[in-house]
Amino acid sequence: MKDITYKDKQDELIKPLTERARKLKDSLWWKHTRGGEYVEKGVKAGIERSRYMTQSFKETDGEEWVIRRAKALANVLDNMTIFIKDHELLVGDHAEKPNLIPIYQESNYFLNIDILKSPYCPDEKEEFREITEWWKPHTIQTKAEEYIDKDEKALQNNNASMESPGYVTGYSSPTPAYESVFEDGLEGRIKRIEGKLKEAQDEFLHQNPWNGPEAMTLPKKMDEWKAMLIADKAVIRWAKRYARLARYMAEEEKDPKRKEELLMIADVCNHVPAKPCRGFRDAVQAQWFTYLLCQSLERYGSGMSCKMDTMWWPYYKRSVIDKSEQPMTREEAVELVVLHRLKVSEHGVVKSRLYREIHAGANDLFIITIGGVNPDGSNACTDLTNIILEAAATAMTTEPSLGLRWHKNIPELTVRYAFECIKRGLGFPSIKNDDTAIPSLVEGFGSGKLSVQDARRWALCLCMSPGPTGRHGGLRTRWACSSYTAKCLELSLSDGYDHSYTDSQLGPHTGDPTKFKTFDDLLQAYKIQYQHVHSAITRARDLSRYLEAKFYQSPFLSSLDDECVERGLDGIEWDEFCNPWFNVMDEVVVADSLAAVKKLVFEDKKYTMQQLVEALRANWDGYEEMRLDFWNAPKWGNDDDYVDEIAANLYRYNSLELQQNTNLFGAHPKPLPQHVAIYWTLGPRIGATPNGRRHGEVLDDGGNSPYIGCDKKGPTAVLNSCAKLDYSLQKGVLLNQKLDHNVMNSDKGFPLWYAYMKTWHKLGIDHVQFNVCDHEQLRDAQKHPEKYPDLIVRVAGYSARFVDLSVYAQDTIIARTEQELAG
Amino acid sequence: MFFFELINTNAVRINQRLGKKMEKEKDRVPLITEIQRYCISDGPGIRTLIFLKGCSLDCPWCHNPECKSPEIDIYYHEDKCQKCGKCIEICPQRAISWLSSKKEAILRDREKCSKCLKCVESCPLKALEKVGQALAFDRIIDEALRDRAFYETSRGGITLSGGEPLFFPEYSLKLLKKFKAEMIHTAVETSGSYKWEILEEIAEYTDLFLYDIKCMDPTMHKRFIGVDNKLILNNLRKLSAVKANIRIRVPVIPRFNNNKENFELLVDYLQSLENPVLAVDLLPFHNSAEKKYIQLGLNYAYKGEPFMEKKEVEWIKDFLEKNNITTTIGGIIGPEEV
Ligand code: SF4
Ligand code: SF4
Repeated sequence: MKDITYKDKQDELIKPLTERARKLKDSLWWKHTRGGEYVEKGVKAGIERSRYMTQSFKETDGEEWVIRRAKALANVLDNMTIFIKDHELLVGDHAEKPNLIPIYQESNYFLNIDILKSPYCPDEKEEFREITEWWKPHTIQTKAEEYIDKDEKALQNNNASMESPGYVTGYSSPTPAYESVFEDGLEGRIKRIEGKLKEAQDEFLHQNPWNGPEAMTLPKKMDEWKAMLIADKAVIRWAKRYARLARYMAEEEKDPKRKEELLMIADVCNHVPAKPCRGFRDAVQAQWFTYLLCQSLERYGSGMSCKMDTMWWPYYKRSVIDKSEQPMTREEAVELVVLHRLKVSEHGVVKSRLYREIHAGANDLFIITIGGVNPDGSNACTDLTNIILEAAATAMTTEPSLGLRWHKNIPELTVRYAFECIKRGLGFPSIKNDDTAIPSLVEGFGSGKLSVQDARRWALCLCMSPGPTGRHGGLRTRWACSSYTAKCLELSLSDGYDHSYTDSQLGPHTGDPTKFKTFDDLLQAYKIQYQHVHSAITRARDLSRYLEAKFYQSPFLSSLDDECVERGLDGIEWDEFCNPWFNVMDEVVVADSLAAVKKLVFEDKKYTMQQLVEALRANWDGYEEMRLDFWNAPKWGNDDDYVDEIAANLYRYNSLELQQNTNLFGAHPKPLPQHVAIYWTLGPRIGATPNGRRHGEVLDDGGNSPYIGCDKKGPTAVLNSCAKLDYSLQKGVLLNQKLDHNVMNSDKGFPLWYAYMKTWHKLGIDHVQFNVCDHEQLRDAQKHPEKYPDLIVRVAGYSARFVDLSVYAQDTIIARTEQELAG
Repeated sequence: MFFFELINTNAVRINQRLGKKMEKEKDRVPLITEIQRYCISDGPGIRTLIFLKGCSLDCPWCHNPECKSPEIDIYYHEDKCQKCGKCIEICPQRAISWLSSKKEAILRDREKCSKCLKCVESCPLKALEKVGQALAFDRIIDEALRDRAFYETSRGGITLSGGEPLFFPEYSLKLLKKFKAEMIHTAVETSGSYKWEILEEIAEYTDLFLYDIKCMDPTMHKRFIGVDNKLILNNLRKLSAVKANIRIRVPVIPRFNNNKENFELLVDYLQSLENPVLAVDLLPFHNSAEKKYIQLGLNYAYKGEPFMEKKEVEWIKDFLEKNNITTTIGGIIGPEEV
C-alpha cells in the first residue's frame, strides 16, 4: 500500500513564475554586496534626493527644523525623476533610476566622505562634494561629537567592543502604521491633523486665564502638525505624479493589454495613498508607497516591520474571496506578491563599507512577519499567509525575508508552505515561537503597559526583535546596536588592554589575570568589562536619539500614528512603548571559553592562568597541544550539562546586567543575541579566545548556535542545550541549524521536519532558522573540514559525516546535490 | 567523538580477552563506538543509535568496520599528524613505524599492537584516536533518553546497532528491558546469525527488527561472508511466526546480490512466511566507509568501486512492489506507527 506522500503534492503547491514576473526578475538591478562591494556593475548612488533636500534646506534657513525636514521631503517628492518599468504592475522607486540608490547625507559625514571616495559616488561628483561640505556642520554625527571626548569617541567608533552608534550609522527600524494609510487614506489623516492644529491654535489664542506651562507646549506641537501636513500633502502629489505618468504612457501604448494595465496603475495611484484602500491592488501599492517614504525617502530605516498577512487580509478578502473590489484570482494575488518581492529585491541603501560587509550577500535587511495568533488568541494564519510563503518559494529571491510566528495551533498547510521555502535552501522563513514571544513582550514593557491582546499583534522590528504593530501602540522608531562580549572576555584576560586590535587601554583595569585564584575572579573581571561597554552603548544610543528628535525628525512617519497625531509628537520622541534592545554577541564563544578555563585551569589544574595568558597572547602559536585541549573541552550545543549551565548563567547575567541601564525614556534594554554577518567581520577584531579559537577566526554565527564545528551530536542535542536558557530574559535569541538537503527533499522530509519542529516548540525555544546545505557549502567543507565536523550527509540509507568521507565519495555527493538542485 | 570517561580500564582488558573466545560467553559487556542522535534511516522517526562494537560475521562491504572487532581500535588521522615520531618512540611493542623512509605517515602493525594506548595519549595533535569506550550502563541510558521529546513527536526511539547486538545477548537484553520500562520504542538491527533462543528472548522487548538478508544463495553467502544463510533464514521464519515486526534490510552489492534471481528467491521466501514483513529497505552500495578502513589500517575490498546510483536499484523496488512488498531505497521511513 502506497500512501500519497507530500512529494506528490509538491508541484501543485509551488508553481513556476509567471512570464511577467520572470521578465522583471531577469532585468532586476540587484543591490547585493560581497566583500564590501556591490556585486552588480553600475549600481551606485543617485544624486536627486540629496540635491532636492539640500536645495530646500538652503532656502529654509532660520525656520524650525521639523518644518525644514518636511519642506525638504516635499521638494524631493515634487522634483525627483519617476519611472514605470515595462511589465510592472506595482510602481514606485526610491531613486531616479533602477540602478541607483539614494544617499542620506544628513545623517553622518563619515558616510558622505566614504561615498565621495568610492566607486559608487554619484556621476555628479562635484555637486555631491558641495553637498557634503554644506552638510558637514549639520549632520547628527557632527552634533553628537560636541558631547563626547576623544577616548569616548574611540570607544564608540573603533568597532572593537561595540558597533558604531546610531549617530554614525543613522540606523533605525520603524514599524509604520500602515493600517492608518489603508483605513483613513492620507486625506483622512490630513483632516485629523488639521483638526488638531485648529484646536491647538484656538486654545493658544483664547486661553483665559493663561496657563503658561501647559499652553507653551503647544507651539512645538503646532510645528509638528504643520510639518505632518506638508509631508502628507506632498506624498499625495507624488503618488498622483505616478498616476499621470501611467496615463501618459497608456496613451502612447500600442499593446491594448498593456494599455489597460497602465490605466489600472493610474487608477490605483490616483486613489492611494490619498484615499482608503478598496481592494488588494490598492493595499499592496499603498504599502509599497508608504514603505518607500518611511524607510527610504524621508529617512533611512532598515527592516520591513509589519504583520503583512493580517494587515492585507481585509483587502485580499474583498478582491480574491468576495470579489467585490478589484476582483482577481488567487494566482493573480500570488503574482502581485511576487512583484512586491521583486520591488524589494531592487531596493537598496547606500551604506558605509562596514555595513556593506556586515550585510554580505544582501542589500539590506527586509523582514516581513506572518502567522501567529489574533488578538483574541485564535489562529491568525490565513490563505494569505500561505500565499506570502508561496510567492517566496516561487520567486526564489533572498529578499524580503520572512519571519513566521509558530504557535501551538499553526495549521499544517501553512507549515507545509514554510517547509517548501526552507527545503529549497532559501534560509527562511525564520521561525519564532509565538507562545514564548507574547508573554515576553507583555512582561518586557513593564506592569500593564502592553495588554496581551496588543502583544498578540506583534511583528519583528528587524530580524529578530518583536514589537507591537498597528495604528497606535507601536513605537514608531526602534533600533538596536551591537556589543561584542568576546572582547569583554578578552579584556578581562588582559587587565583591560586591547592587544589584538586597537592596541590601547580599551577597558577599565580589572587586575592582572595571572593572579586570578578562582574562576570567580575571572567572572568578576568579565562583569566589569561587560558593564563598561554596555553603559557606553546605551549612552551612545540615548545621545543619538536625543539629537534625532531635534534634527532628524520624520513628520510623514509620525503623521500615520494615531498617538503621535494626538500628542503632536515626532515618532522619534514616542516614549510609551519603548522597545530597546542590544544585539549582545559572541556569548557562545564566551561560554565555551569560560567552561574551558573553569575545567582545565581551575578544576583539572592542567594549565595555569599564566600559561593561558601567554598562549592567548601568542595567538596559540607554539601551544598547539594546549589549544587542542581547550578546543576539546566541553562545548555548548551538545546537551552537556557542564557547559550548558555555565552558558545559561552567562546569558542570565548578561541580561540582568544590561538591564541595569536605563534609557532616556526610562526603559531597560534587553539583550537580543544574534550576529547578522558580523560574526566573520569581527574575526580580526577579537584576539585568541580560550575556546581554542585563534585571532582572526570567526565568532559564533547565531545567538545560541553552537560554535562552528562544535556541535558534534546533531540537531536534537542542540535543541536540548538551547532549551536550558531562560528566554524571558532575552528579547530574542537566534538559532541557526543546518539540515541535509537530501533528507529535506526525500519523501519523509516533511513529516520528519514537522516532528522536529513540534519538539522545538514544546521545548519553548525562541527561534530557529534553517540552512539546507547546498553544494557550495559542501565544497567549502571539502576545503575546510575543520569548520564542518558536524555536517552529516545521508547517502541512500547510510549516514556519514561529510568530512569523514574520501574525496572521491565527497565529490559524488556534491555532484548529486548539484544535480538535484538543478532538476 | 564523545567525552565519556573510561570507567574501568581493567574491564576493558577483561572484555578484550573475553572477546577472543567469544562464542560461548553470553554476558559479554560491549564497548560502544558511538551513541549517535538524530538518526532517521534506522527505524521510524527520530532515533538514537547505539553502536555496539563487535560482530561475528565479516562482510567485506561493512559500513562500520570499526564495529567489527569487539576490542579497542585506533584511528589514525593522517591529516592531523605532524609526523613528529613521538608515537613511534613511545610504543612499547615497537608496533609503529614510518610508512616509508620519506616519513610521510606512520604505520601501526595491528598484530603487534597490544592496545595499551600509550601512543594515543602521547600524540600531541590527537591524530591517534581510541575507538570504543567502556561506558557505564547508566551513561548509555542517560544519553539515549535525552532525546525523549523528539521520540514523542516523531514516533521515534532507540535502535541497537553495531556491530551486532546479538553478539552481546545479555547486555542487549538489559538495555532493551530498560528502554521498554521507560516506554521507548526499540529497534534492533541484526544479521540474525545467532541461536534462536537468544533471538526469541530479545524479541520480547523489541518493537521492530531491522533484519539483514544479504543474499539468498547459500554458497554465495558463505563465499562472501564466511557462513551460509541457513540459520539466518530459519530464525527469520521463527521470528515471523511469533509476530515480530520486521523490516528486511538488503545491502545491494555489485557482483554479489544485485541480480533478478536473488530477489525472486527473496520474494518467494518472504511470501512463505507465516506473517508478512513490514517492508524491505534496499541500501545501495556506497563507498562512504573507505576512509574509515584506511584510518583503521584495514584493507578495503571495494576500493575504487563506484557508489551505486539510486536509479540502479529502482528495478528491484519495482519488482518487489509488484509482489506487494512495500519497499524503500535508503530506509527513511519517517514518523510512522509500527
Ligand atoms: S596502543 Fe600501545 S602497543 Fe599499540 S601501537 Fe599504541 S603504543 Fe603501541
Ligand atoms: S605522535 Fe601523533 S603527530 Fe606525531 S607522528 Fe605519531 S600520530 Fe603523528
